[in-house]
Amino acid sequence: MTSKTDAIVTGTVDVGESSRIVRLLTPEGGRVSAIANGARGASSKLASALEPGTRLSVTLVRGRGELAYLRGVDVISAPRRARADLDRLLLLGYGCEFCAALAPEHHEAEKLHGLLAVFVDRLEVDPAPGDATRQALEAKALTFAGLAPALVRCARCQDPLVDPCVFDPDAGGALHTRCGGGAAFDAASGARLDALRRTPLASSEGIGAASSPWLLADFARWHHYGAPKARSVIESIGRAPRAT
Amino acid sequence: MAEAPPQDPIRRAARQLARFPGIGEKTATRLVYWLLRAPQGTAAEMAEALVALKDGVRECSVCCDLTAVRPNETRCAVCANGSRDTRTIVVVEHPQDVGAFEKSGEFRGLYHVLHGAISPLDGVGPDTLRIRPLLERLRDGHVQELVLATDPDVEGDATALYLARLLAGIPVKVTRLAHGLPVGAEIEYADAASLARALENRRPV
Ligand SMILES: [Zn+2]
Ligand SMILES: [Zn+2]
Repeated sequence: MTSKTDAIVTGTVDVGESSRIVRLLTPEGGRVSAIANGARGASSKLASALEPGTRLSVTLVRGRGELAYLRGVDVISAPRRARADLDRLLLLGYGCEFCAALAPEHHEAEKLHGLLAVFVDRLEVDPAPGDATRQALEAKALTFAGLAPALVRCARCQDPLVDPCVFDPDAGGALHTRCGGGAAFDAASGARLDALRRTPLASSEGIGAASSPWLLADFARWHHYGAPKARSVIESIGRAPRAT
Repeated sequence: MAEAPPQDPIRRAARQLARFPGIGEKTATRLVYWLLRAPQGTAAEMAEALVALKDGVRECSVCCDLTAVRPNETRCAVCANGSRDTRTIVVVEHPQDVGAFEKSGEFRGLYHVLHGAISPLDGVGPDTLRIRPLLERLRDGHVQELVLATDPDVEGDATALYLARLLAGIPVKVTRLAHGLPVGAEIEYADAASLARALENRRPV
């Protein structure tokens, strides 16, 4: 069975002598893995097309096995600025891992695909994307995956959130302290994350990041999603001292 | 539950060979049958060479490239060669990349092998790379230029950008191999001519 689809490369794994398994996020088929034969030779044009964050139009051929075969590949757009700026590049990896983790396998994921496409484009322009853009991506992706955390109303009693409050992934998000226990949280952070969730990605940096930088990432992780690999690299580079 | 170890010698040997990257069960089995047909002693020769490998190879105490263990010498042949230009260091991801540059014959300086690249999608950060020994080599101010020759893919870019940021406070010229290598390619597979050209046209980071 042959199908043509838009796709964003979210990762690759080398196999055999010269091939690569490409992980794709597609609108109609969600998470798809496809094998690209001969993608690793020095003269292969495929290699550059299969870098993370590249938006493609691809032809997939499905046989009996789990993996599809990658046939035709047209590049719609490829990251440029994100390849030349470390912070943007780390966010690119994070966004790919996060959206791919939340996408279902072989099932429609139009909104997640659209979100990642906008995010990847956002990394190419000013202002410089930072924590706020990442948090907005997390909030939107969780919502599209049906895992939206309670941020402005208490996850237990549904009343508007007022301080003092806490955050508990197990309960579904933010809570009044009178309604339960959890990690330190405040109503202002909830309102900010909610604003990030509702506003286009381009406006995220104007809204600003919520004070607990990895709250939604932890929430995703509690649900067994998220981007723990890219996050660990972002954190280790953030900690790295500069040489003097 | 862990699977019981296969007792059949053919399956057992095939399992071992299939541990090599790029070797599947099918190829591994084919190799095993080839070994069974090969002259007496072939398997023993191969096994002996493999066993000697780990003890016979070490990391160069200067550039971290892999090198044969030699008495009274902790450096590799390049670092120990007095006629190399010690003011320029080409930084590569893998030991194989050194071979690619040496084959091109264009470069007379020294190398530094990172043993990997920063990979956000694989969770590989800078801590696992041989970056500290590189900084150590820059300490006395003798080295004038670092040529970052990481692969032209996302991991190579991340590594080069990280090193450029790390070295911003150090008075050393930092350059990167020019385009001309196909994006997404691996240095190891580059032909000598394009590698020489990329080196010639390196640009500041
Ligand atoms: Zn409540
Ligand atoms: Zn050496």
